[in-house]
Amino acid sequence: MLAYAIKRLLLAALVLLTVAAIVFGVTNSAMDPARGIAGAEALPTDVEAIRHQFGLDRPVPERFVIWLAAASVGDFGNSFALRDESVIGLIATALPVTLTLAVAALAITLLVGVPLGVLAALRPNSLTDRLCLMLAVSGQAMPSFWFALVLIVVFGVDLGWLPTSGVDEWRGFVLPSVALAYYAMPIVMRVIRGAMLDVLEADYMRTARAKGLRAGRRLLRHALRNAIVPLVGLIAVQFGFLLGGSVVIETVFALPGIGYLAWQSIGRGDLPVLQAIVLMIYAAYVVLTLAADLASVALDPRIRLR
Amino acid sequence: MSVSIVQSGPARRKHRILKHGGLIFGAFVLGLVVAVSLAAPLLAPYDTAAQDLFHRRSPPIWHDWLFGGHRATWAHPLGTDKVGRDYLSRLMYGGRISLLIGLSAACVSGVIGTTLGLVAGYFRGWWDMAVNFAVTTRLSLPVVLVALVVVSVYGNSLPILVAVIGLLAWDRFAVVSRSLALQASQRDYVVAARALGCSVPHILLREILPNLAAPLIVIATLEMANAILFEAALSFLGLGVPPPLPAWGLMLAEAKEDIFFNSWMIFQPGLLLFLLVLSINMLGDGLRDLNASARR
Repeated sequence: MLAYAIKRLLLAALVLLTVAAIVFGVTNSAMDPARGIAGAEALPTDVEAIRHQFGLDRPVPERFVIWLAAASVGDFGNSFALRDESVIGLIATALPVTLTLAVAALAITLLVGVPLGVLAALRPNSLTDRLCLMLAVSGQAMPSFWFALVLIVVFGVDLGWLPTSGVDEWRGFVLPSVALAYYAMPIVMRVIRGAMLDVLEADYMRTARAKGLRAGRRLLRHALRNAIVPLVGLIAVQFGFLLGGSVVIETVFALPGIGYLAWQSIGRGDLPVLQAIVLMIYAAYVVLTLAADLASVALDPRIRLR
Repeated sequence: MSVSIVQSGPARRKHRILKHGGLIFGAFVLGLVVAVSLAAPLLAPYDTAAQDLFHRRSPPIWHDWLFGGHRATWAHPLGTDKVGRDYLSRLMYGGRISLLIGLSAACVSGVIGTTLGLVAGYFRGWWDMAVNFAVTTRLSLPVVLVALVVVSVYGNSLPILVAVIGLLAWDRFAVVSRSLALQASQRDYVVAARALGCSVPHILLREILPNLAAPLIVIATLEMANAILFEAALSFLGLGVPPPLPAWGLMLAEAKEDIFFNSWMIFQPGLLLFLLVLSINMLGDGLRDLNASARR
């Protein structure tokens, strides 16, 4: 297992280099942050001076190596747009918001998706199953930002129950996390339903029934425990997605998280912040998927890692 | 007996198609959207840029029935936006943008993904490893962020959008066509073609590809739906379709500014977007079911 983890991390490092090079190449070859930093009324000589000061007059590959060397020891430099702020500081302020949002959305996804998936699998093709399927199909087709707007109109504007932006109190997280969860929920539900359908037909379920175990215990201890294995990998991917994909939702609700920061940085041409965010989201994705693989081995000894 | 099976084949397929409610619904709604979008120049009552300054932010007609008042006008049955542009006309032309981008992006990603998958599955070895690496890299890119960065760097125009979405969504095509090409390359007809001395492009394009068509078409429909959602989200964030164009995502972005006083404005474009994506997804699911039952 250790050898497997090492192999995975090596591959991840290689992919990371590629991702970093792509992102760095795309942004640095076409964006000219010097003009943005200098301001609209700056003289060409000033722009040139700034370009030199920030090292932007060097060739892109050289800048990439310099940046990578600093980043590998955790130094992402200062923001271009907000000169006094370090990139790490900006991200550290935004990260708790995004983490709270992602955890809350994941909790809602699981609390709704898993029971519905089990319920649908208990009676395939019943009315319940069909209703759950309709919910899943509509969730997959729902534009998340539109769903967020509808939530704002209904619960924020018309009913006035919940705040429509900001994170001054916990209630500010309710609508965004529901909006995010509705997007991630269908796939969780479908996976659980499929896994439960497989498990319920297994011999050990018949045995458990023959032994006279009560239905609740049978479902929880025997069926769900096995059906949850495919869910682990999915949760990791979904959580990574929630971290990176919340750009849209954070922008709609004006939540000062990572996604909103990225969106603002794009508008400001703030390359250091952008690069660090993309790198961080990728690192989170790698750690999460690796953890999920190791966890599924722990949950199901039949799985062997290669 | 074999004769009777051959004869009943098309009839059974027809029966299966008609019995599949989702397939019928999806095909019907998608057909309707396509027809209205194509006929937009004939059907739309106004120019998409024409401003009716006497009827700005005019709500749709059902608004008066539901909430009372006399703000709605039959001149603009679905309402107008903040500068008095007719919602109905803009929605009709907006459908064209969604369909155009969805279809072209799915084509771009289909060509890229299928090519990579075919090469990886047929040649295996180093090719396979390289394609695998590309897929892993692609899957670990934060898609929305990368798309936003690229569009902000290269400017937002329709070709850029199609290229970005297409370049970021080829992974499923690659994975599926790789595994199918892997299977097919062991089959007798491919071995025979190789023995006959057919060229590699001939084997890939004329022998293997036609057998991949059915599953790839299913993926193409689902990717088209995803591309439409993706484009709408980018447009909503202000980095998608450029402004005067009547894209649904853009209309929603403009409606968002009015959400506290004219909340009806978000309703029509969003509902259409939802219905279009839903119908394409249902069509794709239906086609997949048909494929599965035809194989059996």
